[in-house]
Amino acid sequence: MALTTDRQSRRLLRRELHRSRSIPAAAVLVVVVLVAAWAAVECALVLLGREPLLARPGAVVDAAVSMTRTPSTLVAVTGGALVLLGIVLVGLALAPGRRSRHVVPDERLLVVVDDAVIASSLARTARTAASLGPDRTQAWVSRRRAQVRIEPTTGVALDIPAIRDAVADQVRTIGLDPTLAVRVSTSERERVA
Amino acid sequence: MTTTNRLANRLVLLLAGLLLLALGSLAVLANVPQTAPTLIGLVDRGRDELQRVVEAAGTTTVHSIVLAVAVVVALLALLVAVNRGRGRVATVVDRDSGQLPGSVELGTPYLQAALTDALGRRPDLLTADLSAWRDAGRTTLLIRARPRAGAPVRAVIEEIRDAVQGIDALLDRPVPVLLHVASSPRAALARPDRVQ
Repeated sequence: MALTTDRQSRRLLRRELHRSRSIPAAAVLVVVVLVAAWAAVECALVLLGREPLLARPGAVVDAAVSMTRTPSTLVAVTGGALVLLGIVLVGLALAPGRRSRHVVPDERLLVVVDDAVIASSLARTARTAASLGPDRTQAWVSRRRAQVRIEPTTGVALDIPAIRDAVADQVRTIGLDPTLAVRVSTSERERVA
Repeated sequence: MTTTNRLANRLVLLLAGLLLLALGSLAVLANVPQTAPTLIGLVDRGRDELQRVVEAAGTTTVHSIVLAVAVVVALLALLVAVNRGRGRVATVVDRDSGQLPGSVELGTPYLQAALTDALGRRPDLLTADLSAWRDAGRTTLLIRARPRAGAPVRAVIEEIRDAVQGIDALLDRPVPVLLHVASSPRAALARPDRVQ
């Protein structure tokens, strides 16, 4: 329907499926504001002929230059840490940043569902199909796959194909787009009833 | 749902990341015996260049320029920082009131009450919170629903769709609604519904 196909709605759904990166960006901006403000204050103090707050800008440049001349483990380690932080930030900037959520098509609403909610629903479906008590099934949902693990009761056979059908049926009922491939497995640990 | 400029977020992270990468690699390379001499030569050339510029322009000019650039950078960063996370509004404009001047605005608490009322006490749902967001001239309602652990997802969506259709009946024209079915620590802790 029009609601789910128009450009603004598609944009809205896309934004809901991806991280905004607001927290790391805000942290970087705070550091930038502090460093820039400090640089401004030091420059102003030099212009006014006053004593520097921490160091004159010229002294900072000299210190940085002389640091390259004297080999030191501390400088190398700090440099390594900066490189790592830089890689993390560049990674954050360039990675797709998908959230673990799925879109569910609906005729009236734009719907996004957390993968954890889908997983919890599938775990319960499997548990009901296997006639087991709570906490005996676990489920994980990724972009195109759903995995359910069942802890069987010792001596009681599980009808795995039937459970898989029940879970697949539940996935179809939710109507995810794209749909999920279902895998059902039993855990090695069994429980005495 | 916010109007945060995400490209700006990415750019900030990319620029900061590249700057840290450059500074960090300089510090590391200065401590590698094979690269240190070349690097020291480069740094010295840079410093001499800088000294020539400073002497030619005068320290006052250079400090004034750095001061101006620092102030501009700080203000820009502050501007980007405070402009994040905007877009939430308290009212939904519903209709022009015919012959009378002005228009009718509905507060989100009113719509929240309508939603809560329509949903009643659904055993599947822990909470359903409504907020309104405005972006590019269009208001969208955001409903964040937190179902109980194991609740059937389709049923939750349909319950909320029914409630939204009730809200539609209150309004002149339907408002776009985004439903986020969210997990919550509370859902994990809350007792699952045992009746099957």
